[in-house]
Amino acid sequence: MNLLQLSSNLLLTSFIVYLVSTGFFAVATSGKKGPTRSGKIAFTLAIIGFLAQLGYFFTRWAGAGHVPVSNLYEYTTFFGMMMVLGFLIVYAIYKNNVLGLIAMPVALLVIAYASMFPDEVQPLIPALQSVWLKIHVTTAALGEGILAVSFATGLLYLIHATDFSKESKTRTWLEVVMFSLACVVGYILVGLLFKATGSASTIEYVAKNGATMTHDYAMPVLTGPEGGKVLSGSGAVIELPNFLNANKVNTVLWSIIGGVVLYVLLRFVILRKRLAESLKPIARKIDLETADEISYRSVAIGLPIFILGGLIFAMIWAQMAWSRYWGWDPKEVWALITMLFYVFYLHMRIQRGWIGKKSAWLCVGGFAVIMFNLVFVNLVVAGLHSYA
Amino acid sequence: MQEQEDFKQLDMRYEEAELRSKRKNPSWIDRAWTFFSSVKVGLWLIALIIIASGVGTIFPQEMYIPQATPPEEFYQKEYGTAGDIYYTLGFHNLFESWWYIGLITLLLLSIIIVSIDRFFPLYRALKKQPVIQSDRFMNGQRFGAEATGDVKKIDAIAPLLEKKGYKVRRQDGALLAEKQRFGRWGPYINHIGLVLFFGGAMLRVVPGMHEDELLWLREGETLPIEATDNQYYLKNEAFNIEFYDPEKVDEKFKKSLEAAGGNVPKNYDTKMTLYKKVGETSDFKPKLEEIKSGETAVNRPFEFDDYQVFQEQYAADPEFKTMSFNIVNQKTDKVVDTIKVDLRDPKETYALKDGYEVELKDFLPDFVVKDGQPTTNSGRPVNPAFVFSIKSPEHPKGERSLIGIKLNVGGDENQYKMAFAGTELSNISGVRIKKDMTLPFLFAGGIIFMAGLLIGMYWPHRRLWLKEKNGRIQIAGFTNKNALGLQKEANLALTEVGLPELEDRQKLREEGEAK
Repeated sequence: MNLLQLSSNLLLTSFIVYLVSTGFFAVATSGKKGPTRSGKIAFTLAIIGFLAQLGYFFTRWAGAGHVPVSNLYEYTTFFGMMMVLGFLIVYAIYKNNVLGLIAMPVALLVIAYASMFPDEVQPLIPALQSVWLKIHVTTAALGEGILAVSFATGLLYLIHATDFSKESKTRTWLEVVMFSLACVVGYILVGLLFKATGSASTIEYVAKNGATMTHDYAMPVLTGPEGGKVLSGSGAVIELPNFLNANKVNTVLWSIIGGVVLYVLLRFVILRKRLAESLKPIARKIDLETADEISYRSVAIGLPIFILGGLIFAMIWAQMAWSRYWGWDPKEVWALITMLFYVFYLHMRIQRGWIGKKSAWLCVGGFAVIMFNLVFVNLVVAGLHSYA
Repeated sequence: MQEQEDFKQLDMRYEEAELRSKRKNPSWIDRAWTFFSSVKVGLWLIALIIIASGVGTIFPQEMYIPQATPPEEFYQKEYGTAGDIYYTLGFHNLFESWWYIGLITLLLLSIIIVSIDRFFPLYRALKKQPVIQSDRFMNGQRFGAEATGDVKKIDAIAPLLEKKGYKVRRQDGALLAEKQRFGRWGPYINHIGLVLFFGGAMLRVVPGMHEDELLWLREGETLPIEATDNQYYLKNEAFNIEFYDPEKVDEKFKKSLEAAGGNVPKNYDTKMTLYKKVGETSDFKPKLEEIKSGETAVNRPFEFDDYQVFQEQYAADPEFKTMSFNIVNQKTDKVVDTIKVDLRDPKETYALKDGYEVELKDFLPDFVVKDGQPTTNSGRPVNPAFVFSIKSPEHPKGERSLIGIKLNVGGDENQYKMAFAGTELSNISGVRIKKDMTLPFLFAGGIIFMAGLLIGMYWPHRRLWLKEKNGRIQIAGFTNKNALGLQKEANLALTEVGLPELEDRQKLREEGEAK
């Protein structure tokens, strides 16, 4: 078995161990007592899973010959691993099982999302051949992973603090967050389903600049390019004007369809109540003050690391590779927005006394900014960093 | 319990010092000062910058669009009406627009004024703080306790606190223990770092601080560097580009290279020699002295003096360097001779064997037909065409023909024709020459910013006051961060000398209200 094969086996192992660990966190929070034996087992499993994933990271490094953070598959997987690390650090301090029940599934979701990207190792283009690849990318991901913990606790705070029997903005927006998470799960499930059924299609079309291009669809075609010619598979239901990428729109549509089906199923058939509300019995087990404090602490730890990796190291590398430390590339701009957003959070909290709900919402918003930078800026907005 | 519900916490952020921004009867300067020293205004500015920056990434900025299409057409063509609106509103150049730069300038102004407004009064207040504080002050602290006892207990706690790193001051039996006051300066330090960073970036406009030039160098070519006032010359000795070969590459990379389809570059670099101008020759050409040679590659710039030479681009379609032709007798199909035309320096006549001669009547480096006339689009030899005249014993006046790529006018009727016999290509390397004396300021600014951030976040300022009056001991505690940390530390010492633990009065009040 070669190193890369071993590496992907280790990743699969860690994924399964994380799943089992989440199960034990669920058991630990269902009991009425405080820290139980299942909590300890869950934490131990999370550590074992993390070690397995570290194994994935270093065997892939050895196998590929460069640090495995050079494309979307590798980066997103690493980001998931850093979320787990962030959670482990916070758990070591606060020993809170409830947090595990939210943080671990979010990390699992991120790792599963990563697996939707092509997982072959790629040779490095000249711009990436630098020691700063390992320094900049890993530090930025670590910062983001720790900041993600504040999302988990912020969410718990909001669910705990919300009265679901009364109509309120918080109740509505919490459902919006839940629906977005359902869409990510929907994207993964739909992707796996169509991979299994083999629903690939290829459509040829003429782009604006006159060149003949093709879209390779992995999912059944709902939206196709204007005047497209079907080379294989099925034709489009609707044709879109060519300034929209019909293939990406198709993927987004399927994710939303998957999300809606999943959401409706959970809300009206299985749980028969709002998704956020169904998490309330769990969220109630973390007291508001602790949730608020963990949120703040993870920002206090995560933000300096993120600024160092995502902005300062990034600028040093950009200066060496591209001769300018700052170029208003979309990824750079969104890293700046991430920093400004959390700076806004800190000032609101310290200077203007935004504690509790408002502060928790800002933590949720901050994670949305991070995910936007990861997903949309790479896939939708074109730029120097969109290497997938 | 009654007392706790009445508890109103003092605002200790600036130790109740008088801030200029809180003056009554303000003058207009005070008003402007008050405006910019408001944290609220600063936060609004941050919010506006966040929104504006986000808008600036919806479509690519002007600097990232292909240069072939003018921007006024590009946004319309590429993104439809939305793109048109984007362009019309000036978002295509958002980050250089006056209002975006204005927002950043206002934010900087706000940071500077807010820091000055707070720092000096705070510094003075902390410097001359009394050991004995008023009852109002003691009862207004978030943490506090009261108990019966005498000064002996306060005497006993002093060494315990000193052991924990507190500086202890005594006056008339009262005690003030203080630790990590410098933690209070964290925000000001990081603001100074930010100002230094942006101030450094602005220094670019000072002449001599910043030079930036893109230089296109053909292989073998030597050009002056304008960024050095033409004092230095750079010669491209060789440009080398290497692609990952899907056939030869390691097995593990094969799949991804096949998926990538096109060419994935592995490395590109330029070998070059740097010359310094040391005078002029008699025919007014520069006299050059070799300084050093080396190479520049992505991530590995070539350096001299304060300058760096970055490997930035290369021409996707290399230029033709030379073209060779065979002179063919069409009757006998025999090659008379071969000539090689150096496209950068074409000769007017080429003498051949046996009295033959080729005259280059006209050379069009970038051939096009405009209004029915052959002409050239640019001086770059990308589509060269030639008007040759071949003088032979049979045709001493010469036979004319127009020869180019897939082009032969008049050549077929003549007895002698020019036939392509090969070309040599020349790579063009785009190197960026840069001098940036502002970088040390940015670097220092960055380090100071990070230091300030960490100091402010991780070194909480902690204080403990104890005072005895009529057999009762009043205790008050202060911390600007990490409340639990102060309680843990103080309570250990307090209980050891038999005093009560600190209460969190704010929490007690909230709980009281909740009931």
